[in-house]
Amino acid sequence: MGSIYWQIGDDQASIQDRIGALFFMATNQAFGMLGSLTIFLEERNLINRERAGGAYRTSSYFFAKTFVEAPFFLLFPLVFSCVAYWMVGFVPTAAAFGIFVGNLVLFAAVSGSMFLAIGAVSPNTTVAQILSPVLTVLFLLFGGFYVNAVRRCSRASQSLSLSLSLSLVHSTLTLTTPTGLTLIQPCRIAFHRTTNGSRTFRSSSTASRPWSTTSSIR
Amino acid sequence: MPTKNATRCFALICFELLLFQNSPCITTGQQELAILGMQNTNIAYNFMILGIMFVVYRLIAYLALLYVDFMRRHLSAHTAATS
Repeated sequence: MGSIYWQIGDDQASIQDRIGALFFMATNQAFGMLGSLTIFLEERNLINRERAGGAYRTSSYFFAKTFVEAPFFLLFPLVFSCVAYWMVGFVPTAAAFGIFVGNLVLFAAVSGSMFLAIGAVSPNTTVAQILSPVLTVLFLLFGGFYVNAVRRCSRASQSLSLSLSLSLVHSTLTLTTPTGLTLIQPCRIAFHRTTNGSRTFRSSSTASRPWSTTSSIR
Repeated sequence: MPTKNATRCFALICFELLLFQNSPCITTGQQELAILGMQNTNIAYNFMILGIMFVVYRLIAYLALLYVDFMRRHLSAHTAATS
């Protein structure tokens, strides 16, 4: 991530990089939590056997599992953010970084919980392993990167509450990270040869014009 | 001919200067967010929804585990009664 999006700068060409990087970082957290599904599927038969033997209650196991998983939800996104955020070169303010980290931590927790729910609801391992990528792809499709939010709202996606969390994360990150930046529109004058052979030139913009994002964080 | 071309180019630049003076290629601030459909994004609300979804997914998983446990007990009791 850091090497591909290394210091993306503050020109208008960086807008595409910024939105792509934000979306990729969010989806990276979701796919990273697929491991929790695999672990749960492996231990599910063991749990059922131990529960049948009366070793512990279901609630005891469930709360213990939640507390054991909590450091993974917190630690992985935190370490990832501390490295990737500054390498990419997003807004260097504590507020923007805090919102970024909070978003990724929450999204990792939601993704891990979703995979746990899929694993618990599925009758066997095969169904769970088929179901989880399908739902993750739905996450990606309606996450706000491939389909515009206005178009998305006008269609059936309101009912797809499963895809809501990535959409929320993406919109928050997109709103937060460019705030306070002044994106420069570079002056580009390109020469074009006309059909009759004479050279002419046209400017794609007037001059270095700041593109200021003045939206406030609400 | 070169003078004519230079005049045409100068006129073109002046025209573009006037044209783009108040209409940058990429709209700014709230307009740009409106294009993306994110002008009404509320960060606190988004955090709250994410927290709720975390709890809901955990609850679904817990209830599913309880259901499996209940069904196993029910079936074993039924088997013991019939045998």
